[in-house]
Amino acid sequence: MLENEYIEAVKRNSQRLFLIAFSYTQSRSDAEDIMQNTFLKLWKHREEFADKKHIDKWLTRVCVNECKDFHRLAFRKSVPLEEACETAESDKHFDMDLFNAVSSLGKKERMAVHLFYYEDMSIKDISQIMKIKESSVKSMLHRSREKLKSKLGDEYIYE
Amino acid sequence: MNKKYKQTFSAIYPSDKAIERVMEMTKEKDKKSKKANRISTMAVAIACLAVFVTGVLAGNVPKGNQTPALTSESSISGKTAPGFAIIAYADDTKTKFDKKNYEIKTPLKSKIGAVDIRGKSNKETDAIVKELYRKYNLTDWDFPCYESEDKNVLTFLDTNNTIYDNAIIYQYRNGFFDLDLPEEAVKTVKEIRVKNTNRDAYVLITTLDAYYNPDGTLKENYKMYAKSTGRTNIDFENDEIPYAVLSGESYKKDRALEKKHGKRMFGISWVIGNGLIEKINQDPNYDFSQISDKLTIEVEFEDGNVSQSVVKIATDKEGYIFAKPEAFEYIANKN
Repeated sequence: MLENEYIEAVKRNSQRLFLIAFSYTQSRSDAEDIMQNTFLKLWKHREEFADKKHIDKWLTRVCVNECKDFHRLAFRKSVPLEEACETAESDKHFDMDLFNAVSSLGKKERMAVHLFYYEDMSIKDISQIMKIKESSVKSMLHRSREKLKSKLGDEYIYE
Repeated sequence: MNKKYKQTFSAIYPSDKAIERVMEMTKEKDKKSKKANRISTMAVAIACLAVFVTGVLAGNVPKGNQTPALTSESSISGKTAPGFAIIAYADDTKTKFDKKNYEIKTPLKSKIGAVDIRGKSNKETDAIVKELYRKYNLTDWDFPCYESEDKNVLTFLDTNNTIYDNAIIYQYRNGFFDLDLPEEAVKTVKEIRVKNTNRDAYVLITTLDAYYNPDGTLKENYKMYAKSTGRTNIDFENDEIPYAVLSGESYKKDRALEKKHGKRMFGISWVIGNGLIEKINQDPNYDFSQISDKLTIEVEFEDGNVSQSVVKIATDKEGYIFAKPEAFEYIANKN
């Protein structure tokens, strides 16, 4: 991978990876750390990639693993969520109710929901990337939907 | 949901500075990975549940573990309705269920624990956590529920980023009760209702994958209600979980009941709620033997018959959880 290809990969994936990490950590700074670590690994392994699709998929997997390691090694104080979304609030499409409802989920639930609804990943792919059984992914998604439904209402979930 | 979700989260970006740092990495070939293990002031985190009750052979009970007094008498009054029993399975598929008396007095291997970290440095606290991971042979995601009852699973308990600064609170192993329904009756289950009395705990109903659609939603025509008095991390009105069903693929494939009933199996999980976790954080030396609960499980069949079973749950001082069915009763035929 050439430097310009790396830069392209960063442009293409930085927000995506940041959001995966953010779904888990709910901290801007922690999510940025994880994103940086993920790209650092990409640069270190830059010789190994064949194409963009391969890079993007690899980055997703590494990012999820980084989240896992991050959690395992550190106990952290949570940061106020307002800080995390203060810039987003000015965006007309930003839905604070949805953001708060998703934030109330457990961190693994949030990640499964994010991979499912944002990354459009299949249950099988989520299962592989999170290294948990497909049935567990289904459970998480089911529980998450029930929780979100209780906060947001049926229409919100099924529309 | 998809569109709104994407729109909402697309509005959140990493900072320009973070992107710049990533770009600059190409110029810093030997730059070491920024360690993700910065230790902030101590906090115990983790989402997810759960204290689940796992059956275990009496011989596997850790030393010094005393069975708490569970004095309730079992009884059977049902004659015509399909009866059912509650079985706490051992992880080696054996169970200490006395069919003659419809009674189990089984010490369960599930354990809740807490480590006092008041006055500990971040380094000391991390060492405690690592030791717990090592001690319990923690799996990758320490996912607490439903998938690995046969593994040593450790779950740190918290509720969505709430900081517990006095104690590391954890749960070792998980599992659940099986509802042992007669072979014919299991095919006619219409509705399952469960409620408990402890406001610091709640209940969930589990079932097999066969009840799920491919997208993870529950198939129609099955009604399973867990009406819990317990406070949960879900802000349902009236503290009620209207619909709590989890995948039960964790049922072992070679279990006798599954052989007997095929894909139709149901289980009940008992879950520690936030209230208790908060109490333990306030007092890391919390006396776990104060914990108890009473579950009332009703199964309604297609012919309108209803059977009821009651199980008492208790925890000893060490945090090991025990259970004993209290009563088994045929209630009524609604027709």
